[in-house]
Amino acid sequence: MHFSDEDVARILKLVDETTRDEIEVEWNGVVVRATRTGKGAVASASPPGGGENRGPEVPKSAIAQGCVAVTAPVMGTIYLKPEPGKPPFVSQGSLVAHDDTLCLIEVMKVFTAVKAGQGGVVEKIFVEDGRLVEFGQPVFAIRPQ
Amino acid sequence: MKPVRRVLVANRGEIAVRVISACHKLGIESVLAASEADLDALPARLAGRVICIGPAAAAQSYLLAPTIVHAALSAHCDAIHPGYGFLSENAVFAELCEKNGVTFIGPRPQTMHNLGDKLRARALAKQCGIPLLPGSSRVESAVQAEDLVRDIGYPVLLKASAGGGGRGMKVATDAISLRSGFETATAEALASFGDGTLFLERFVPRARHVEVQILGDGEGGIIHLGERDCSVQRRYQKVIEEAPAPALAAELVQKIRDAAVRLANAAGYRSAGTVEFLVDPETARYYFLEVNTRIQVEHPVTEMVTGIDIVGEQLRIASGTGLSQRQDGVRFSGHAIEMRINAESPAHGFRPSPGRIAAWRPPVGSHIRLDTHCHEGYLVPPYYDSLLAKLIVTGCDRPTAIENARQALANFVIEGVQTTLPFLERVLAEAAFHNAAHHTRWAEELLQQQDGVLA
Repeated sequence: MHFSDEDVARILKLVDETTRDEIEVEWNGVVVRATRTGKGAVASASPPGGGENRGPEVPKSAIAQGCVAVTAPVMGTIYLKPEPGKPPFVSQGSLVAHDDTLCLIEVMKVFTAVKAGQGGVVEKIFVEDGRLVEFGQPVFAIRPQ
Repeated sequence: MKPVRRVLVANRGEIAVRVISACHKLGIESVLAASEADLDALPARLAGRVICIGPAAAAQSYLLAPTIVHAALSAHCDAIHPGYGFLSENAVFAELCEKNGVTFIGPRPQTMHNLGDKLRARALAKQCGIPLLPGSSRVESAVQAEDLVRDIGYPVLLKASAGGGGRGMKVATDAISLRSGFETATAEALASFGDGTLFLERFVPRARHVEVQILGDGEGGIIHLGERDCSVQRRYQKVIEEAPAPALAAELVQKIRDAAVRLANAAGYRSAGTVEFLVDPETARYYFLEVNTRIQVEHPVTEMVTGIDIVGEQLRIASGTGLSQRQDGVRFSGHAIEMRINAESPAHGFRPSPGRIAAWRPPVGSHIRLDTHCHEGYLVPPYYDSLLAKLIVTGCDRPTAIENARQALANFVIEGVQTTLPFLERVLAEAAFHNAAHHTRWAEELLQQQDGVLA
């Protein structure tokens, strides 16, 4: 089994087009594993000794002045919709009240509702639906009203 | 078994560094599950990726089994290495891993369940024909304890069935201390392990703690890597460990090693484990104590005398590659001593001394190994155990190793936090240690003799 230049190019194209950060192709007993590093590759393990390798963090500067960050109270998978196919809890520009649910975080089938904690307008949503969020990671920016 | 390509390291401190290094050496990627307090520590800088699993408090981070398994699945890890402490001996956690298709790097959950409970482990040891200290099964009350002591004889040791680390352990020399000991041991066991079940054992006053490192491939293959002596203890916590165990007859050592292998075989043991024994040097008798179903803090001394990377073996076993050595391939050479350097103040009853490390200048040399996560400027957090470093020193024989160890200690500069360095120096200067006349209560007796002298 050997690869032509074309095969390699095709695999690379596949990696480029996928939203995944890692792809594994197995055929005829040959496993090709391609990992995307660099920007946008938050879910992949970078090579050891990389120094700055903390998860998908939002720098403090990304939270606009006058806004308050709502951070993940636990680590888990984030769901921005109450269930698949339904509209999201909130979108950019939504007006939210103190006790409104903004998202759910799931840990092994146990869901935690994340409340706004203050009334205001959702200025920004930092994460994509279905991603792993880490403890303390900013998820929303809210402009209090 | 599928090969392990990416491991979630569910621990912190020096053992996290140790596991990450072992992974990288074998070309395995590492993902560290860290609390918020450990995001800037050395393990986080070495790991391929870091996932913040919760706040500093271990109960909301390192002890959250579902969160850790969820992190492993999200980061596409094939296996979880639990290190020691935290969830490392939690059979429920191991089961959760396996149920979700993540390999738990350790024994099978059922093995952990059988060996983790001391009463059940004693029963298995008895079946294997391994001597047990005269003792009891479960003790329900102080009155019942008194009845039992009539057969066993004073002094006795009250022990928590779910215990470890010296918590829930009390020595009783008469009926009065038995009654008060029963109450405090029950309370301690309940508070520490959520299970107040106690049992009684004959107490051997001048005993040595000798343990055997075992490796099981999970397919029935068991080897031992010789024994360690961990008799220098303070409050049942090991302070200095060495390999091989000194001043024991070769015949006795062979019996202990055989007993450990027999027990591991009977348990169908997989991965690295330790079978602990109490040895009475006066009678040359040995007794089964317990099995630790995890990698142990003191594993490096065994690595130094056998040349076998025990964490590496754990990773191989988890991958289904089997053991790198057969029993007849295990060779022992030289002597190794490990000293635990804790952020504690010996001058103040060993109270914890967290804080910023202002200066960190460890000794160097071909006979020195340092397992640590510390460095100059590191802030020792107050939330976890106080282990800063394990200084492991070797020599061609025990006297040389002791001499090298004393030199190494003398050349170790740590400023900013109080450490156990002066206490270690004191122990290594003692003739009783040089003559291997020490026992598990010896270090505490030494401390009582010279109360307040350490500074």
